[in-house]
Amino acid sequence: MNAIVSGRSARALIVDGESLKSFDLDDSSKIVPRRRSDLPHLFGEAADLRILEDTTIEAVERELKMDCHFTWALDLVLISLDSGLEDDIREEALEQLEELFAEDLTVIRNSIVIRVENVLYSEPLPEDADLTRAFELCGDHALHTVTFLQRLEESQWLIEKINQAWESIPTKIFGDHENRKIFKHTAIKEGLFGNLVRSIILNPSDGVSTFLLRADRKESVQQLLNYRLVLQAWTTPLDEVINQYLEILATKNRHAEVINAFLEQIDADIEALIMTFMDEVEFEPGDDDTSLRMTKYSQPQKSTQGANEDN
Amino acid sequence: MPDSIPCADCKNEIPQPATSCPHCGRPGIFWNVIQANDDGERAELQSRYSAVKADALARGTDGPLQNFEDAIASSIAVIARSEVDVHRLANSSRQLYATYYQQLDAGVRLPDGDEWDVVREITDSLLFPKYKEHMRFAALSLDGIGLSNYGSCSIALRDDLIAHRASVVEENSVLFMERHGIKISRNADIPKGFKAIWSERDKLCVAKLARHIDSATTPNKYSSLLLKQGTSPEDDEFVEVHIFGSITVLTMAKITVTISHSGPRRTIMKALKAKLAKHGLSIAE
Repeated sequence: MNAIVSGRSARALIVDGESLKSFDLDDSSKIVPRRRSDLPHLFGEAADLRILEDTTIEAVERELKMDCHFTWALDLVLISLDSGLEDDIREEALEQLEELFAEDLTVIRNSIVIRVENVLYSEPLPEDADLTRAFELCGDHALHTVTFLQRLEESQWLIEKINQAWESIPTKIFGDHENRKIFKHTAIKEGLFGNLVRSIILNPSDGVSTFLLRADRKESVQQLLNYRLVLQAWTTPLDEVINQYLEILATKNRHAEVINAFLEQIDADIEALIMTFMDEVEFEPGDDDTSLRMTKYSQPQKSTQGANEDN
Repeated sequence: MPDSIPCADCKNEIPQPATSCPHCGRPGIFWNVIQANDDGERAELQSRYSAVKADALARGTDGPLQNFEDAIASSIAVIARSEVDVHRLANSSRQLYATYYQQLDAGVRLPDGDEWDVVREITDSLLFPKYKEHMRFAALSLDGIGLSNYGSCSIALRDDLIAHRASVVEENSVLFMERHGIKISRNADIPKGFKAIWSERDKLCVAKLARHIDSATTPNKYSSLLLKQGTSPEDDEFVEVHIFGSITVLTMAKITVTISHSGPRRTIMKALKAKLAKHGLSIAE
């Protein structure tokens, strides 16, 4: 039995010999017999059709659910970043996203987050994406979403450089423009953009080699024309990018050290101030034994320091 | 249907599928409307219409039939599409969405080459000889709901933006060709009186449906008389609307979604509504 699933239309088509049946995610128990003439309308203009071969109904259901969750998560991220939408809708999108990410983490081990990243890491965020407000709208418990958005924000520099490196690959290496398009689509679908960003972040010095080793093993990539040449042409200019990235990290670390030292100094100063303050304050037991009353600044006219200042 | 018509202004010949006179440049040529407005077509339609009206009078159902005709005069053209299509439409103008949706766009698509499409292609070639790529299809509706076999979102079109370029045919044009046994030839013999210009769609509907109207036909039954949802596209019963030229988000008056959602899909739908509202378009659920 084979099947076609589309997360965008939340529908699966089961192809078993000559028999065609479909079901929707909303009610997977309702299996509808289909005719060939239904096919053009079954998925609308959905372009995310995925073919599953030698599969079972249970596996189709599982894959459909995963594809739906991925599509919804991507939509919800874009809605949450959309400055043209009202805050309440963006906030609701962030809440839904948190639920999807939380379920993803426990049930399907982060695959949705990674798939969404694989798409979002293929291009830098456009100018109309509003990350700042998205952070503000995240609720107190939106831990997964905040982490996701932070990673997205912190990766922007690298995403831009990796994208520039991709764009600089001469089309003749792909063969022609059509092949170039197909290669990029496969690269996104197989997570090459996402993997490259994540590999460099995880290990800047060896990230590219790790990435190349993994990419080289992917069957769908191996089927693409000149795939090794393309991967090489893509990653060669990244040596310079990684050097810059390491410098940025070092600068960030230095800044972090300076900031930490500064904060430590502030902490020490505050502590010293408190100690001085405590030394100069008298506490008196109140009427009941548990209450303490500060007396020094409640009677400033009697203070020596105050008297001196008056003079 | 002639291959060309004389220009109303410069009198020179305008060949199909030109939408303006190639000689004097005067615009506004919609070939489907010209075809439906043909004297022979209109005379045949008038004859069918008069016959059913006379029959209704004889049966004492002329009153209900007139009520039906009056209601049909305000019917609208509705295109049914999936949520996916509406989503694409609503988001196409925002760079944020376009950037990332584009990345997923090169996916697999189902082949269209089934028997129905072959028949559709032949029908379109016969009905719209040199301009079939300009034609858009809709169904006539009274309640704003279209043919659900084509999707759960019914897109009602603005009358003022299509009336001048729309025509109607009595039923699904593919089935019409089959039912009338029309043979494929250069000069196919297509029976007249089964299509109408937009302003005469009420006459066509009366000619088609008068036999179903009697004193028990109350206005709440008009909608389902005009458009009956089938279990598959071949089983749908409706009056087909042909619209010449493009349709944009601004051509649309209202979208009705016939499926309600919960959870993430509800939020996505809410965002969709907000985006379409910016184009003055409302979504009803």
